[in-house]
Amino acid sequence: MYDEPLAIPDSARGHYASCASCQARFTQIAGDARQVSDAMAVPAATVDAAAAYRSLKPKLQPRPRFVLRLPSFSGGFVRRGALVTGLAAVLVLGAALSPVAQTFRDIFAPTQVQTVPLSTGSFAGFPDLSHWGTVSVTQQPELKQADSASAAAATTKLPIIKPGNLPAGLPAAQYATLSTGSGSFTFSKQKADAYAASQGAKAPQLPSNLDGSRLDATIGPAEAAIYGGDLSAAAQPGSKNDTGSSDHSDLLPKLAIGISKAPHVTSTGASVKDIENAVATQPGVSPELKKAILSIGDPSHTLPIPVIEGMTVTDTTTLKDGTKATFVGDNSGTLGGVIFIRGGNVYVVAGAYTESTLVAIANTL
Amino acid sequence: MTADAAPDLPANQESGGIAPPVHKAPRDDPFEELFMNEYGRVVAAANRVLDDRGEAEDVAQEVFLDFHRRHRADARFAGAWLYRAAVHTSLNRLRSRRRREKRELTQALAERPAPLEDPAHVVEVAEDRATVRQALTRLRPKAAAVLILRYSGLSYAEVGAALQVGTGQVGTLLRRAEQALKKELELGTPV
Repeated sequence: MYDEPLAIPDSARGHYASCASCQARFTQIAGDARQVSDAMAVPAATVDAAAAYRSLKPKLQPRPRFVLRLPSFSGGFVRRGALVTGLAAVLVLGAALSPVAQTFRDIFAPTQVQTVPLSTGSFAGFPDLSHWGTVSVTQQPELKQADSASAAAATTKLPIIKPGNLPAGLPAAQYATLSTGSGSFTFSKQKADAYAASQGAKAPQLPSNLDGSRLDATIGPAEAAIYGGDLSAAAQPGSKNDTGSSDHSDLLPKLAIGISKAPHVTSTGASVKDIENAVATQPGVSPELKKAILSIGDPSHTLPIPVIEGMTVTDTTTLKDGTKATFVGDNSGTLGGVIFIRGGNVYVVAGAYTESTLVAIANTL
Repeated sequence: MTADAAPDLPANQESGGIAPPVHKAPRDDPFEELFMNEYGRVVAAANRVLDDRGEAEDVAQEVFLDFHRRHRADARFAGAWLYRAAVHTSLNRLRSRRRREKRELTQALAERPAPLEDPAHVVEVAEDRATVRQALTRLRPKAAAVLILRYSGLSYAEVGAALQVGTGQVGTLLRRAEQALKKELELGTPV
């Protein structure tokens, strides 16, 4: 009544006029509000928005790409849906940043999650794999809606998503599946040299077994339960935006739960160390990104989650069954996600909730 | 009580509030349009916390850059996201400054507008402002945010959107936050 007087109905006004108790309460509230208003007062901040925009404009960069670009992947499924995009970014980046194995038989099989703090500049400067070799997609993953959690589980052969401790007021879940996708990357010394020359840099010395060495990566299958948002609109093939990035923030669900088979990568020759060194020493890779790549202690078994310093908060926690989980949150407190690996599958619980709420849900999966 | 008899609403130009955005003709760049529409209000929210226009503009630039990296300019939640991020970023900056009060005093003394003004009064005003800012950092984040946003001139609906609560809850939250701030200022103890 004090703060929004025009919103008060006539009946309340009539009651107020004859109620000493309400009048006393109003006086108290009005007094408090005046005191706080005085306390909160600051000199008016007159701003020149046009000048401020001119100052900001040179700093605007294309939004970061969270994947080392596998062209057909980004053109196909990465743009479809916020949750799937998030999952795909984690998985593709994990596969691309954490290669791989000593021989063809060895695999990249992550069993743990590790955050890798990077600055925004490093994200924007992520190198393009096609500079160093040939990328091809051998199996395009396909996104489909599913009728139920059990139908999604039956399609993907993954555990059924049956969460508990869900916050009140959530809309009914929509379900989606992503079929297995696979692709390969073949190193080319010739391409790497040409790219280095185009950057005005000398090509780094690469191990002899790297040239022609092939990485085969497989991701998925995956399934997701999505609460809120607009999955059908997000999944429209033409819904990509004009920047080519995978932003569907206005379609974001309140909560999304995803399970994906952990990605794996095989190599025909290059060792983990060869590949780490090759990536880290390429021109265009910042010292910070190089340090981040080399900081992954056990790249064969670690799924790296890149986070932007200063824009995110991270935390680690242990679920009831002893599984280590990583929380990554938006620094505005708007969004967060809990990520963990169990039984060869990557789990993500993400949404507009606090860490404790998301962990409570994760504990029921 | 009639509308005419109602006391002044909290936010106004004199107390540092900024009028709602003026929607001018659409620009070619949606982000520029968003910036021009919301920049003043984002600065106002940050300034309400920091009591430092220059730093508030730094925060606003940081917040807009952050938004540009993450979201489309035409996202429905753009304004709410910007206000909320401005408040959180500003409160974080304030918390990280242990010696802010001392700096404010120094600044106030250095910038006093008239030589005849009583230095003791200048010091007192600066101390009061610093005390309020410190009290804000001790409130629960949602309580601090509702005060900052409302007293920066946002409507109940805008405050609700920024804090992800129903419009009907804003009045109650605001009332509780006002009491909490008053208690902080009176007792100087954590709420």
